[in-house]
Parts: sequence; structure tokens; C-alpha cells
Amino acid sequence: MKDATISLPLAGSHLKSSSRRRAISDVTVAPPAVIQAMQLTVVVFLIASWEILARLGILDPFFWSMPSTIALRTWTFLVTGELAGDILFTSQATILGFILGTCLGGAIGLSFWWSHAYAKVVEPYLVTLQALPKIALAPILILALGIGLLSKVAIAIMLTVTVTAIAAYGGVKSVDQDLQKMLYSLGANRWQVFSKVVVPWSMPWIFSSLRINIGLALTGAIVGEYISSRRGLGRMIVNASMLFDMESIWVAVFTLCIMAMLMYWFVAVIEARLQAGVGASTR
Amino acid sequence: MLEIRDLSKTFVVAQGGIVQALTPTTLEFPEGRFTSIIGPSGCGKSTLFNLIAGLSSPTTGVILIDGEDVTAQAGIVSYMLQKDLLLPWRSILGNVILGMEVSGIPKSQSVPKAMDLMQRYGLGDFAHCRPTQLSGGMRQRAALIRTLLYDRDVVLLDEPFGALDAQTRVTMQAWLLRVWQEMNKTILFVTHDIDEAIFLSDRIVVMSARPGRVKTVLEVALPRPRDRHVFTDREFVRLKGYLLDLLAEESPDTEDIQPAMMTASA
Repeated sequence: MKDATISLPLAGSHLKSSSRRRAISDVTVAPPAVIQAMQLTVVVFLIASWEILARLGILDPFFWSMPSTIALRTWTFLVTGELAGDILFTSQATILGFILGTCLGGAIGLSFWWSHAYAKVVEPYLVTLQALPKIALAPILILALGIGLLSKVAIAIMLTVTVTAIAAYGGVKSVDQDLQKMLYSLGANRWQVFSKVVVPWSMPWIFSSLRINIGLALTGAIVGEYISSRRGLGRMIVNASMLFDMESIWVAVFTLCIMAMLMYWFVAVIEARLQAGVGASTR
Repeated sequence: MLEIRDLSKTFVVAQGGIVQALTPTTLEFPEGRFTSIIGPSGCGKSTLFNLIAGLSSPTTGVILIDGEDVTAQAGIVSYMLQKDLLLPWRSILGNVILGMEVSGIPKSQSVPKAMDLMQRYGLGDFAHCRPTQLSGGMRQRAALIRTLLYDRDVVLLDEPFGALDAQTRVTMQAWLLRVWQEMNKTILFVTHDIDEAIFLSDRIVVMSARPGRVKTVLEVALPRPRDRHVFTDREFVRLKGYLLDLLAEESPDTEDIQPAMMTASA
């Protein structure tokens, strides 16, 4: 017993010294500030190299332009308010298409719960539609719905609806049969099982399609504008390319970059909120 | 009183074969009594419960409650499955009032009733927790309270403690006895555990597989209230030995094989 009490502190100090050694599997985590600084460095490096290479003539400034002139052009567009109108138009088409496409897709996917036969009949068509390069149908939608906002929204819906429908159907298929059985045993009708189990159960599947859809909706809006439009950033790119106005193309591209980033971030925040809500609603 | 008369269930399987999950069975479950149903896999316990719960229709026979035909009607009895089946997106409170919510009882009535029962049976502090924050035993309690709040005279419990560890299981058995004695329900309790069946029941229905049928019904003549000392009572030990012999006849080496298949003759 006495031996043990003497050897204990020794064993302790031995452990302490060996714990300073770092195991190879230990994950080292860099502080967020360092990560952000490094990310910023990459952007600065890329833009600086672009500017330098263009000024040295290694990159042909006629095709590739250069950051300083692009910045100047952006400033002009901002001051004249030209850019704002295009941003508004493209955003409108994107957001409307995103919301409508996602809701419609969710409704379609959830509806498959109601009838096995109906789901089985429709499923192959849905999968085919999903695999189809739906952009090919865009000219038809433009011809049918005109060159205004409506046709852009329609293209965005067309691109997003199948994604959510398939995601929601995945949720519906995975609903715990015993949960449904439990609810039926409590005397629930089908509508109650649907609204109290199937819908909340499938929500995470629907939410997981949001981030894919926002990108697709933006693509849909831009493609619609490429084909025919009077406004929008897509239209701006097509117009500028016909005039070999590289600066304007780049302005539009960077604007789209920022829009895509903002929308993606916004949707990611909403998704996180919704997912937490499904896990945390009190009632 | 719950009665089943000539109740049977036959499933049609692939290639035109049929499986007799339950041969015609007649049983009576007097009001306020605790009956356990014990037997090997494939003896038709779950089929019997699904029939009584009205979740599937019998091939023959009827189910009567106080003489009234309730065959194939869901929602007449309370039914609790082995899994707790709590909705993860609802609080414990939101889960236990589910039965009343489905019946259209407003929250102003269901919530106080639920809170009262949860206080009384050791769940009061967990009312606003998520199911994932609770231990297995607590989740089963919540599931049982949900079942009880769906206020029906007959309560079906399908191996409710099957997934719990031995220690928790014993606690839960004592808890269930307390709840049952205070609430005066007719309980049908499926289990694989002989000790559990004897400890809890007034009566044990022993079933047998291939085809599923009732082998024996025996009374448990142990005085109530019961506590852990019952486990060493001479009558307990005698019953246990008898039940072990009965179940051993069900040749355990074939227990996991599918129910007997018979080719359709008609």
C-alpha cells in the first residue's frame, strides 16, 4: 500500500511528460482569423497577377481585360444605375423561380405518399425529367411565354422542381412505418398521419435541395436571358459580347459571382434555421 | 371486457403459398386484469396485437369489447410498440398529447392533463425536452404515458421493455405495476421474458408457433402488490420452471425459421 502511494506521483509525472508529444492523428485546427486572412491573400494574389500579366501583355488585355479597368467600368455602371436594374431583374427571376420550383417540387414529392400506384407510375418520368438537359427546352418556354420575366421564372422552376420532388420523395419513402402505425393506432386518419408524420419527417430532405436549387434557379434565369430578354445580367453579357466589350462581360460575371455567393449564403442560413426548427419546434 | 372469438389470420405469400399466422383463437380478457402473452417468434403474438388494435383485418372471427363488435377498427384500444416511436421534432409534452391531439381535444385540456400525469409518473421535469435528450427508460415512460393519455380501457403493450438493459427493465416493471394499479386498465402485455411475465401478470397466455396458436393459459396466484421479493417466492419458481418446460418444447433450434408454409389447396 505504501509502495503504491509512493509510485503514484511518479506515474503521474511520467504521463504528463509523454502527453506533450502529439499523436499523428491529432487534428490541428487553425484559428478562423488565420483562415480568413489566407483566403483573402488568395484573392489579392489572383487579382494582382491578372493585372500584372495583362499590363505586361502576357494576357491579351483585349480578351481578358484587366482588374483596374473592370473596376472603373463597375463604378460607372453603379453611378448610372444601369447595373441595379439588371441585378433586380435577374434576382427577381431567380428568387421567384427558386421559391415556386421548390414549393411545387416539395408538393409533388410529398404527394407520392398518398398512393403507391401513383408514385410508381410517375417515378420513371420524374427520373427521366431529372436526367434530361432541361435547358434544351428553354427556347420553347421563351416562345410560349414571351421574353419578359415570366419565361425566366418558368425556366428556373423547370430546373429546380425535379430536384426537390425527388428529394421529397426520398423523404416520403424513408418514413418509419412504425411511426405511421403508431399514429393509426391512436385513431388518426390518413390526413393526420400525413401532416403530423410524413411532412415533418420529409422536411430535412426538402431542405437539403435548397442549396442546389438556388444555383440552378440562377442558371435558369441567366440562360433565359441569353436566349431572349430586354434586361438582366445574362442579357448584359450577350450584348457586350457582340460588341467585344470585355469589361462589361466581366462586370456582369463578377456581379453574378457576388449574387450567387449572397444567395447561397442566405439559403444556407435559412436551411440551418429550418433544420434546427424541425429538430426544435416545441409543438 | 375484451373478447376475441375464432380470430384467425392467414397471409398469402409469393407463389400462391399461405402462412397461417394465427389459427382460430378464442380468448377473454376480463376488465382490469393484466395478461401476458409469451411464446417463440412466429407464434402470432404480433399478429394478434395488430388484429386487436384494428391495424389489420382478421381472416375469420370477431373482436368484441363489452359485447360490441370492434373488428378491424383502429383507435379502439391503446397500443404501444417495442420502439418508443417518439416524434423527434416534438417535445416530450408534444409527443404525449399526440393521441388527444388526433382526437381533436384542444391543447387547453390536453396539456394540463398530460402535465399532471407526467408529474405523477416521474417525467414532469422532462416535459420540454427533446426525445433524444432522454434515456431509453425515460423514453419508454413517455411512450407509455402517451398510450395511457389516449384514454382507452384496453392497453396493448408489445414488448415495451425489450430494448432496455436489465437494471432499467426491473425499475420499469415496478413502475408499470404502479401505473396499472392506479389507472385500472385491462393490459395485454407481449414479452419474451418469463420473469417479467410472471412478475407482472394475473394470467399468462402461452402461445406456440407454426401455426400460431394458444397452447395454454395459466393463472399467476401471487399476491399483490408485488415487489422484488416475488422473484424468490416458491410459487414464482414453480411457475417459472413450468413455463421454461413449456417453451423448451417449442424446439429452440428452429425458433428463427420462418412460420410454416402450406400450399394453398383451395
